Amino acid sequence: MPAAALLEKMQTRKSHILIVDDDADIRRLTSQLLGDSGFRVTAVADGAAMQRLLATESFDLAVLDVMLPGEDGFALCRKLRAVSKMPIVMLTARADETDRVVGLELGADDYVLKPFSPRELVARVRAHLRRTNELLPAAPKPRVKSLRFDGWTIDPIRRELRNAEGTLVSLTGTEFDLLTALAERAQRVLSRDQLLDLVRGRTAHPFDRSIDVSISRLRRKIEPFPDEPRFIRTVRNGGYVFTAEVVPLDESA
Amino acid sequence: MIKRLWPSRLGPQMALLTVGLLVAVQIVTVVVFAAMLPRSVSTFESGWLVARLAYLADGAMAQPPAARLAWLDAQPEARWFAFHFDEPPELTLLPQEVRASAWLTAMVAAKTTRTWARIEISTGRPRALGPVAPPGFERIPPQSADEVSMPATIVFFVATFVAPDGTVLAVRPFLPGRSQSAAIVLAAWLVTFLVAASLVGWWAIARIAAPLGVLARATERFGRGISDEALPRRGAREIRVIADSFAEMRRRVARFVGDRTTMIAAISHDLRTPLTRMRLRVERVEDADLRAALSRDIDALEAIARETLEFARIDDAPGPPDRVDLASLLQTLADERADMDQNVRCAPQAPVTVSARADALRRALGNLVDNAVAYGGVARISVVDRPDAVRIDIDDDGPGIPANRLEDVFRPFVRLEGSRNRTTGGTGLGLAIARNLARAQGGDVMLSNRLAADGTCAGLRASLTLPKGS
Repeated sequence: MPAAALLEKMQTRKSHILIVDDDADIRRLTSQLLGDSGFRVTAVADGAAMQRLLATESFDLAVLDVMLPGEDGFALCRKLRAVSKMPIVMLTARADETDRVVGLELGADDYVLKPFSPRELVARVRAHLRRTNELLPAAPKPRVKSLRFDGWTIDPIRRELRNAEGTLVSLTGTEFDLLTALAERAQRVLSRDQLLDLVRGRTAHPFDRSIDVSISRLRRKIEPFPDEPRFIRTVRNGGYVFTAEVVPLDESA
Repeated sequence: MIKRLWPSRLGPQMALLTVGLLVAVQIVTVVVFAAMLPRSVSTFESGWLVARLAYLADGAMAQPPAARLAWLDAQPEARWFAFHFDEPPELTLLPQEVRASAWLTAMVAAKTTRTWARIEISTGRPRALGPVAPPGFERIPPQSADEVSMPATIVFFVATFVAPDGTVLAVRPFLPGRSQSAAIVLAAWLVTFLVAASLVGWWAIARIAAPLGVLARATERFGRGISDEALPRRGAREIRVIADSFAEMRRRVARFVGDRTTMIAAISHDLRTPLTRMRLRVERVEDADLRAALSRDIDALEAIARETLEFARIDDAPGPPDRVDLASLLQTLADERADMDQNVRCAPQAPVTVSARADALRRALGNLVDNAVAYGGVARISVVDRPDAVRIDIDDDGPGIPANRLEDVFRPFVRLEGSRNRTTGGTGLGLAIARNLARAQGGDVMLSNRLAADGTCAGLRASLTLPKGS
């Protein structure tokens, strides 16, 4: 093999994805799906097999089914998180909000409800891998329980926003992701493309309006004077910047 | 008035009844007792009195005039009498007192051994509450002022003996009668007894009624789907039997509901795995039309599985209510659907905070909005803010629902024929879920037809009311 081709192959090294699911058909179909999307996939049926595999292989992302024989997906998630920073996507057939919160609190990065749309799963996997690669140079962030700014509280796990009185203020999925993306990167100017990228990766809503529409809706909900925004400023030809002081509260707080 | 004062609860009813009975019995007792006591001297007292009067008059007259009073005072009985050597004032007598006086006079006359010019006994009461002792009776025997003055309201009684020589001896006995103080003592006793009996009765009745109260509360809560109330294990046997039967019934119902919920949840849960496979497999279908059709079918199956599970699980973990900003919630509902090119409009709202479970409220309102869009093509959301409750109206421009079917559509899986058929999608659970969610939070969902100016139906209005928490 010529050296240039080898180099190219190394540069475009396929991300290695681990799938743990006890249903053989879903394992095979998901492997095919992700394989077709350009990933290298290894799928196993339970935690024991996963442990064996981890001794010899390294992975970039894990997709764990919650309902597994023996150790359930939550237990595997905790184990995996103890040894690795790789993104973990949980799959579950249970629609409970509590399940989602438990999974995210245990260190999962995403939570996909069965039956999932194949395209959405691929989009989320891609987004998580992209974000990991982006973050690679920086030290891994501590898991944040909530973000505070000017009396407001963002709870990224429960996906809740509360005002100074503690009243729940509802946001659409896109608005919430937008607010979180901006607040996590407060004082940094984010272009529309960057925002779109950050937001779409998480929700993958096919019908999202443009970022500007969502920003103006968000302003109406959180800004005291939406016409003269204090929190989300528009940067001419640049994008948007979150100007309020954001205090992250990690799990120990 | 009586109806308003009559307590509605069992305990107070029984207590009131018991106290009422006690009072009635006491009143009857007092009345009977009073009626049986003669107003004049009793037979027993009159026998003693006649003998004493005759003895005292005879004995005094046997003494020389100067020694008479001293002799009288020396007699042991003197403490019950006052003496006066002059004519007493006349008393006014009632007819029956005239008869009693005549009878006593005859008795004393028969008992005395001396010869008297005149014996006259007047027994009666001083009219009204006049002076107890008429003039001339101020001299009271000195033995015991207390005892002598005690029977202040005795039957007034004067015996006048006139000797043949014209000497007058007036004797005024102080007979123990029903004194005011005795009446007060009696009243005090009655009241004390009544209060004590009432307290004991109240306590006893409360003990009997308390298990029933607990049972009533448990039944009422069970009716609303809450079966956490502990049941009474004490009280009368009948109450224990009812409590045990109710507990058994509650267990059976809970088991039945639990089985049903588990079954529905298991079915809809187990459907997810094959549905996931289908979703993954359908991606591999080459024919685009077929793929789209299969996707739609999977969507429908998924909706049924999801909504059935949701309907079965409504009672699960209600969770505490939260402070929810209604304006942003409605705006979010509308925006999310508008983003999917649905005609959902929400008028800008003044901020209204309600106390509710946000996810439940979002789902209930979401179902109503989706219904409006599916059947009426459009959903217009507005809010009526009242001091005690908030009403959220969702109007559509659809054909409405016949007035006699407005309630039917809330029943699970019920759909109306004609315009509302399966082609519009949905499972027939949306309204049932919305109403159950609203009711679980003390609110409700109602449907009404909006009428146009010409009386025809302009569309349907779904109203979700929510009480305002404190």
